[in-house]
Amino acid sequence: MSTTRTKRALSRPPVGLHRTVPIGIVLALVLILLAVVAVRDLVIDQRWATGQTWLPDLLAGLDGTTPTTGVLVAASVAGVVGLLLVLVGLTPVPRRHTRAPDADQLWSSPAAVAAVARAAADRAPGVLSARTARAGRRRIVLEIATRGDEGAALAASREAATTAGNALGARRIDVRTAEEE
Amino acid sequence: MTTRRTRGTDRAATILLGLVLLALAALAWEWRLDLTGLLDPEGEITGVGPVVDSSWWPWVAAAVGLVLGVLGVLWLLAHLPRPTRGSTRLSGSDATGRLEADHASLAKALAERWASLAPVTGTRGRTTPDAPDVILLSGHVELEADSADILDAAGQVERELTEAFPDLDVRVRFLLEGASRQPRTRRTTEIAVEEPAPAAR
Repeated sequence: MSTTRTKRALSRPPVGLHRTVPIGIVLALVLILLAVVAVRDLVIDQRWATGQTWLPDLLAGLDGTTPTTGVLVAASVAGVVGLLLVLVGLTPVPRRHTRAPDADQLWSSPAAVAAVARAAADRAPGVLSARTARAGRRRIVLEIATRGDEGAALAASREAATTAGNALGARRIDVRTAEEE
Repeated sequence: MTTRRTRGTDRAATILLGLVLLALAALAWEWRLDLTGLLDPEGEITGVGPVVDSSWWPWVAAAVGLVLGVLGVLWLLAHLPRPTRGSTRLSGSDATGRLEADHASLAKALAERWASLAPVTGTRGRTTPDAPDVILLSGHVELEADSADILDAAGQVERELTEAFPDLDVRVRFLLEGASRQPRTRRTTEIAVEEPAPAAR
């Protein structure tokens, strides 16, 4: 039997790496750096090695600080960075793949759906060539070059592309004629 | 691939750091503008020097630093790709013997089978720490692929897997990516025609 863990994992859509993961790695490195500096300061303070301590000098420099414009500018920059971090942390995990409605676990990226829809549109009657103008999760735009009856070719290729794309879970596929160059 | 837990920690830490920075900024502005009257705009920070010059400071700083450093190392290590459980215990196991399915060979076989059935290239199979019993198959769609072929192949692989593991011990998930960059098959021959340069005099 599938375990509940497996079922849970299969019920969740595949997701990309969240933007906070690199930030987490940087923060972990900062913590390690802090530990190294603190221990180094202790070693120097106990005269086990010679050198200049870093943290005490840095922190003692705070004495005598008043709310000057420079302090406010630095604080504002920190505030903007903080706001960005909060926003990045609150945005949902990027979700790219869409599930094919007729298959249990077939997930396609927008680029894959666009490629299949493009190939289908390319095979439609009256179409000279087809290219993907835009491949997004919500909308895919195809551009075709036609010969003869433009309206018929557009309708046929739209029909073909939509059928192919919907089979892989596309939401909306637009087909338009390419601009003449 | 990290676990969901590590990713959650990263996210929480990012939000926390952001909130701390925002609070610091708000505090500095409050200090200057004195809206609540809690901080004296004429005052200055005092008392840091004696603390950091005291005899206990280096020890406390080093101890706290060490704790944070250990946490940092653990946090960093959690991001490393970790070896997942390499096999799945099958339901047919009992006291007389254990049946296990090896993930690596299963993933390889499934990836090859999928590549032979579907119009996909560069198929790869792997498992993630979050769900070791789910084989993730990823592949690039071929340029002229037909959606019916893709669906049929996925269904066929799933059917064969169900036949091999009737109790659904092992599951499969397909991830279809865009066409991979392929070497150009239709090369155009470009001929540059240049006017002969006037002979140097």
